[in-house]
Order: sequence, then structure tokens, then C-alpha cells
Amino acid sequence: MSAPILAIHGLSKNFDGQPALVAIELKVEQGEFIVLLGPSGCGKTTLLRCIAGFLTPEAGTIRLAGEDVTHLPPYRRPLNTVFQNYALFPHMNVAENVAYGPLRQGVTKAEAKNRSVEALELVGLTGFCDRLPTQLSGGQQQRVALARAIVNRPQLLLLDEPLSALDMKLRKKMQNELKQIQHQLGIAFLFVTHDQDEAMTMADRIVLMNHGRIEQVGRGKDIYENPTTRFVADFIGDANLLEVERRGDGSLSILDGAVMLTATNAPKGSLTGVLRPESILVTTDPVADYIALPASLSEIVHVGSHALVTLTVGGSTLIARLAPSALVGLGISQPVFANIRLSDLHFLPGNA
Amino acid sequence: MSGGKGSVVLLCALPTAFFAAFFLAPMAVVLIVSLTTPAGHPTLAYYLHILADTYHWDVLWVTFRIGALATLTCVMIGYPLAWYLVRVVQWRPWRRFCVILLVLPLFTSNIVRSFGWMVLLGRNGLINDGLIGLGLIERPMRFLGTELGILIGLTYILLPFIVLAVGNALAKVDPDLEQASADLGATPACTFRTIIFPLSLPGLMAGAVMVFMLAVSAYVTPALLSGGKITVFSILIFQQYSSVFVFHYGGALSITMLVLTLALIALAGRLSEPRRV
Repeated sequence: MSAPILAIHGLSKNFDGQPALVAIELKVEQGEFIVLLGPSGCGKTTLLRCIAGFLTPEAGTIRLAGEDVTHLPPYRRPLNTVFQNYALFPHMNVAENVAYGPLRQGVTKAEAKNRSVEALELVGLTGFCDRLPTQLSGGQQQRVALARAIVNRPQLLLLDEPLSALDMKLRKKMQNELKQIQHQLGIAFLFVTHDQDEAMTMADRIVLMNHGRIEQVGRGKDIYENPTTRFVADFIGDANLLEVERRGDGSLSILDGAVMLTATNAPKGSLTGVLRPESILVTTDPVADYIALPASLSEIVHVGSHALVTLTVGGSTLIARLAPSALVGLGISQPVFANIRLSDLHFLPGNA
Repeated sequence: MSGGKGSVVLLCALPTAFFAAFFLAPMAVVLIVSLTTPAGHPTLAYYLHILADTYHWDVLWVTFRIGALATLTCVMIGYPLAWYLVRVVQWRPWRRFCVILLVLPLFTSNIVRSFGWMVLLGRNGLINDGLIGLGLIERPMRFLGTELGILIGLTYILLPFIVLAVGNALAKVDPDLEQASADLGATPACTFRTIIFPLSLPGLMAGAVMVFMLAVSAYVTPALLSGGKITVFSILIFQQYSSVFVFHYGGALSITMLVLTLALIALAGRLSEPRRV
């Protein structure tokens, strides 16, 4: 295995004394699609800008294909960026925008033009060469920005929330196309987003960040099924976070004793239980092989293809996600059963 | 709001009337007067006289040369100054102070400022004293009554127009564009040449056109700093109106200068169309 295309070690960055990045460790392999995910202000864009060279970190190193680039200016770094607002040069037409990179590499004008046309074809934008950026739609500008960034065939492409300005339909389409283009070129993508669905759809691995730290790194499915921190459980998908009480005899009590666990391999110390809304079955009669908890149904919200049902179990509130067909026979204020399985229950360190 | 069209007409009527009364009417009067004899007959005699007389061409040449040089000097000093104010100064109070310093002279009379330069540029003025003190020259230089003196005065008076126009254009250049340029491998110098300068060019052109027009039509500064030794076109026109009282001839001179100025500006605009990379 060759060296990772990007290796970040102990990277820290402060803004006015406030830590924006804290001891970041990250490796990106060649051809990987990595998504930096997190809420606004979590440091994901700051990390991207450090890698691109627009910000200088206080500590740590950034290596690109084994070479230390921590103190190189942006124009000496062998990577390219797709900017959030596209940052197309307004005084140049589409072809000139895309040819800008090759021209800086010192190729001839004719060659730059060829590469520009080729890159535009790759992103599915032909016949717009003479248009100015202002004469293009948002989706077209997006494609120009992408073509401009890949025309030099960097080994690493940084994308700063590139799809955030597009409408939902176009966004889904571009997500697919980006994946295809990435496969075709075999370049590593480092893609910043705050949209977890986007991250789940696109990423080979997700890097989940919060308060300038990396909370968890892994495949989307793994992070979803095995969140290691409360933040992750809450941020990725919906989660019911349950208080876990440790009784004197070592057993664990959940939902005020409605669920008791005796033998458990859960970690020591205070714990929080995580129960995904789709793992709760709501029925009028108890379901076999499940723990059936008597509950009352207080709210039903229809969200497109499914419904979110709010249940009161003892003194706690649970959210369940049901298919519309599972709602038949259920009504507000009705006594129902919330059926759960212990195998669906995960534990996290810390209090709920 | 009701009666969309009616209120638009009403809103436009006043400015249009104002423009017609105070701009178009005087221009029309000047134009008509320049094309008629004192008896009221149409004639091109004044224009033919201007075109035939080499003295007028000499004065025009001096006027436009001073105007072009003043514009050039203003651009050479003003662009870096605007860059400094917009790009280099980070501390807002200092930037505000600099802008006030730059604009403040515009609040005082042109005459006062030109007199100020007469004092500074005189034989025993601060400039000559300073240059002698520094050992750069042995005897006082002659500034008053030379083109250099007029140039210094005009540059000083017209500099704010360039700085404000360029500063405005530079401030509007999206910093993301510079980063995008650097990201694509352009050095800072290359980014300036290919991105920032072309994007600030419209502002620079607007400022330069303004400076050029004000410089060639300036009267007070050349009149005071020339000491009667150099004649620019506006002085010629003023003499016709105020001393000789030949309004027809003065009008023809005015129109000639206006047409030539506009032609030069149109030419400059054509030449400075944004270059394709």
C-alpha cells in the first residue's frame, strides 16, 4: 500500500484564542471519498481551509502524498478546491475559467483549451464555452467550478459544501454525478457538508466533527449502528437517548425499571442507552419475542414516506418511526405497546 | 400605490425638467451662438478659424498633454494608495482617518488650495527649501509658470477621484476569487495581473476619465500656477468670454474642446476593453 494521499497529524488552529481545531488526526487513502460532517461551527470548513493552505495552523503537520505541505502557500499545493459559492472568475468565460489552471501550469494556450473542453465534457457541460458565469444557472456554475477544479487532475479534491445552494432534485442528481466522476477519475474527494443524508449517500467514510474535534470516523452504516458518543448518536439519524440507572446489585434499569438488564457487557460507569426510532414497534397487542412496554400515544406526525409517533412510557418520551401501513388502528391518547428488543439497544458512556 | 404609469411620469418629470433647464439649455445656447454671426446668420467661420490657426492647436496640445500627464500621475499614485487603503490597512480607524484626509481638501475651495501650492512651490517655498536642504538641487527650481507646477497642482486636486473609484472597485473584488486563483496555482503577482487588476479596471477607467475631464477643463489651478506664462484651453475660453466679449468665438472654442475631450475618452474606452486571458 502506498502512502496515504493526505495525512494530518496533531493539527490545531485557534481564532482569537478560541480553539477552532484541536489535535486533528486524519488519513485519507488514494481514491477515497471522505465526507467531513458536522454542525455549523464545528471546524469542518476550517480544516478544509488549512488543507488548502488558506489558513495556517498553530500546530501539527499536513502531508500530501508523503510531502509536508504545512507551510507551503496554496499555489504550491498539488490539490484543488470547489468553493461553496463557486468563485468563478466573472470576467472570463466558461472555457477561460476552466483553462486558468492548466495555463498556470505553463501549458500552451491550445493545450489548455483542449484540457478545458475535455474537463467540461466530463462534468456534462458542453456548448457553453463562450458564456460568462453570470449567464449560467446555479447548476451549470456548479459544473464549471467542478471542471475548473479537476482539470489539472489533482490527487486530492476539496469540496466546500458545493451543493448547498442547489434545490433538492438537482442536489440528488449532482450527488450521483459527483460519485461517478470521482470513480472515473480515481481522485480522493474531501467533501464538507452539514447534511447527514448527503454524507450517508456519498461517503466511503464519514468524519464526524464537533467543537473542533473529530468525534468518530467510519463508514456511514457503522457510525449509524455503533455511535461511540452521545453527539454522534444524536447527530446521525434520530435517536432516543435513555437514562440508564445502575442498581445496587449491578443490574441496569432503563425507562424507570420498565426494562431491566442483569448480565450485560455494557461498559462501566454512567451510561446512556440509544434506541433508534425505527427499531420500536407500536402495536395494540404485545409482539412476541419483544419487550412490550405499555405506552400512550400522544402525537403522530407524517413525514413523507413514514410517520413519527410520540409515545409516553412511564415518565419518559420515546419517538418511533413507523411505515404508514403500521399506523392502521392507532389513534391519539390510545393505550398501545411499545415493543423493543434488547439487541437494538446500544450503550454510550456518559449521562443522558 | 396606484396609477403606476402616471406616478412614474410624475417622478421623472422634475429631474428631466431640471436636466433640460440647467444642462441641455445652456449647452444648446453655446452651440447655437458658436454657429451664428453677431447678426444672427448661420456660419462656420469661428470653427474654420480655430482649425486654421496653429496657435489654437498648440494650446490644445499643451492642454491635453497636461491632462494626460495629470491622469497618468494620478493613476500611478492613486492605484497603489487605493490598494493600501483597501488591502493593507486592517485597522478601521486608521483607514477612516486616511479617507477623511484624502477627501477633506475637496471641501475647501479650489482657489485656496491652488494658492497654497503657489506658496509651497515658490522660489523660497517649502519644496525648494526642502530640496536644497536635502542637497538634491543647488539653486531654487522654477515650478511656478511651468507645466510641472500645473501638473503638481492638478495631481493633488484630482487624486481623490482616482483613489475613491479604484478603492471602491478593489473592495468589491470577492476574496474567494483570489483564493480560487491561488488554488489553481497562480502566484500572488499572477493573481493580481489576471484577476484583481482586470476586475478593478472599470473603476480605474471611471476614475481616469473623471480626472482627465477635470484636468483638461480646469481653469483655476492652471491660471494661478501658470503665472500667466502658460495658456491652456480653458484660459483661452475664459479670455473670450470675460475680456474680449466674443461669445460666438468662445462658444466655438468650448464646443471644440468638448468634442475633442469626448473623442479622446471614447478612444481610451475602446482601447481599454478588458483583455481576454
